[in-house]
Amino acid sequence: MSRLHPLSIPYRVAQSILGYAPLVFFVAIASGPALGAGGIALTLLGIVVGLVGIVAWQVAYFRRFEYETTSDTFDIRSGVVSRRNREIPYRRVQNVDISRNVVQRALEIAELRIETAGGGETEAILRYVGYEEAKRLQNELRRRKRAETTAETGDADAEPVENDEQLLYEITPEDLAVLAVASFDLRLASFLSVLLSLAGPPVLIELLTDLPISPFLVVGAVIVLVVVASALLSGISAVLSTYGFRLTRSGDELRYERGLVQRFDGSIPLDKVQLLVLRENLLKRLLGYASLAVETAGYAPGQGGNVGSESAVPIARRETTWAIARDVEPFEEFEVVRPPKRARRRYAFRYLLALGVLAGLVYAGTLALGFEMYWYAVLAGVPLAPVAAHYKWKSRGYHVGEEHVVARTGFWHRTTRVVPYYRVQNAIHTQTVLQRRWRLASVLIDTAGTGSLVGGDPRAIDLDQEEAAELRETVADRLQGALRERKREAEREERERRIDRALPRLEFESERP
Amino acid sequence: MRSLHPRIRIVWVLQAALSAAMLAAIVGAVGVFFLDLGLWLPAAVFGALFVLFGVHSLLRYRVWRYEVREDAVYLERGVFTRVKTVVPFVRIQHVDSRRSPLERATGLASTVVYTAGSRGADVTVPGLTPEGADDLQRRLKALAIDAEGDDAV
Repeated sequence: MSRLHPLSIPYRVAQSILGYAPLVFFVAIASGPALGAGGIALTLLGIVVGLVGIVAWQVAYFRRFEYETTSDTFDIRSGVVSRRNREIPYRRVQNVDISRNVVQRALEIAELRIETAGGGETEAILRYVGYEEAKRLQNELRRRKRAETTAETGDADAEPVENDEQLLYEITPEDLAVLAVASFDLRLASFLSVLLSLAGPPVLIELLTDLPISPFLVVGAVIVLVVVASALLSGISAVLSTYGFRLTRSGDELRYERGLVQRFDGSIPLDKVQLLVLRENLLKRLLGYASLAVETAGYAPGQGGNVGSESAVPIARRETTWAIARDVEPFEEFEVVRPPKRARRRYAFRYLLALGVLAGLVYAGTLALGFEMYWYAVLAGVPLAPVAAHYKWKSRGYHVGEEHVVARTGFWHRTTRVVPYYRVQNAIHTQTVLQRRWRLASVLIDTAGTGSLVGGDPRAIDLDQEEAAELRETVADRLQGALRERKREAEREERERRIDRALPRLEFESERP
Repeated sequence: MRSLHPRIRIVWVLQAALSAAMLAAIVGAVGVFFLDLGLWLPAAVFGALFVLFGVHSLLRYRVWRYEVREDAVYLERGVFTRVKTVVPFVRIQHVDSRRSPLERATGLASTVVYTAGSRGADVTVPGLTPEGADDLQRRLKALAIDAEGDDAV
């Protein structure tokens, strides 16, 4: 039976004091004057009692929290008042993640999370163990999980895999600089603009009445400021969270470390990979960079509010990223099949229609407000419509490979999703009323990945309807084929193992006489 | 390819009437209490919506098709956006058969097929006779067990 790190007591005490401090502060402020000197004394007494209570609770928590690695499960016994005993079979462990913030690093303690595939919740959290102990546990759990899975298939005495970590990628300062630039997200800018527009008008009116400058200049300056501020913010946050990124491969696991202030240390089990997501937005493409995310079933590392941290490669040269992706899932070189040319015409029509509607609205605004708003300026966008349509068309496509199906979308945020056939859950073919008029259809390939919950499914958009039907059937057929293939493979391996086990004995017996 | 039981139209048209009545009641309440309008407004709203929803239900019936193939369930549905889904048996996690009050009143049932995919619960086959639903459920279950893959995710 092991315990948490003793330093976790003062750390947790400090944490809960910080948590309660605002509440105590406000209560004291609000009730102090009304109660007079006696009240103040009472409040102080309350604070002291509260402090003693917190310390006692945390000491009890520490004393009542025990964990153990048994022969086939990881056991945790916890709870001060209501006790909970939890046993996690090693085979079900998917990820063991370690995270440390600055204070925890100074104290050399860490938070350890154990994730299983079931449910969206973390299965077990150890707050906090020593960093060395966390590392040891991470290795131990991994080793036992592997021993368990190989023991099940019959070769318990298989190669003892220790220290086989192989460095796949380490972030360089240049990469980090590119990441800071490329992570600029217009969505953040628009969010800030919304905030400003809520707070802005009263301030602006104040300003505009006093200032001799044109109001347009002020608005322009504000917009520039917003964009610069959001670029800085997103750049800084990207650098902080990916500083010192390292990706290694160890047997059937990818492991990564990252973060400047808060340090993360996690793993991605390769046998649970559902799909690969390669992201190359326009900026990254121009600079020759790409990033890679790996989605596993039911769990993406760093779910808890750390959006974007499921990335296996936050940023690297295009070739490196694709090479690592191929290392994870060996898919071949490919050229995507584009939608038919008439899809491009459709997009151009759509843009023209949107421009027309916009011009109409501006014109109506001019009539209604009696203030010239230059509706014809909108029409300057007309020559751009075919260009935009062309790039939209060009950035979409799909590819049916040997063992994988690939779908690509997005010009500004080009995303290529690679799914092995044996991970396909079902194929969904959709056709809206408008698509039917153009004889187009889309195919969505559903997997058990987590990204699909937020609309991140691989989808081939606007194919010819015949082609779409064929893709749907092909994907379903190949799934069956891939599953049969996997089964045969497993059977062959099993047979080889049996022969391996049988053969030495034969040699031994033949030597004996 | 099989279509649904014709009686499902009754269920859907009744559902259409129900939602039309609900929306009409809201519009009517606003009209009577805030705008001092008569009862003609909710009546008109009900009529228009009922026709709209009713026609939609009938079209929906005409489009709906399903088929139990050798290795997958295949479904075709949707009036505006036509959706065709292939669910391989290996991917089926579990199968429910379900009966809402309206379905019970008309003697029908639905079968719901779940997969581990994010859109798993989407796959519902309505408009079966209770025996048909039980039969489909049993058949799918048997086929899913028979088709066992190494693991479902």
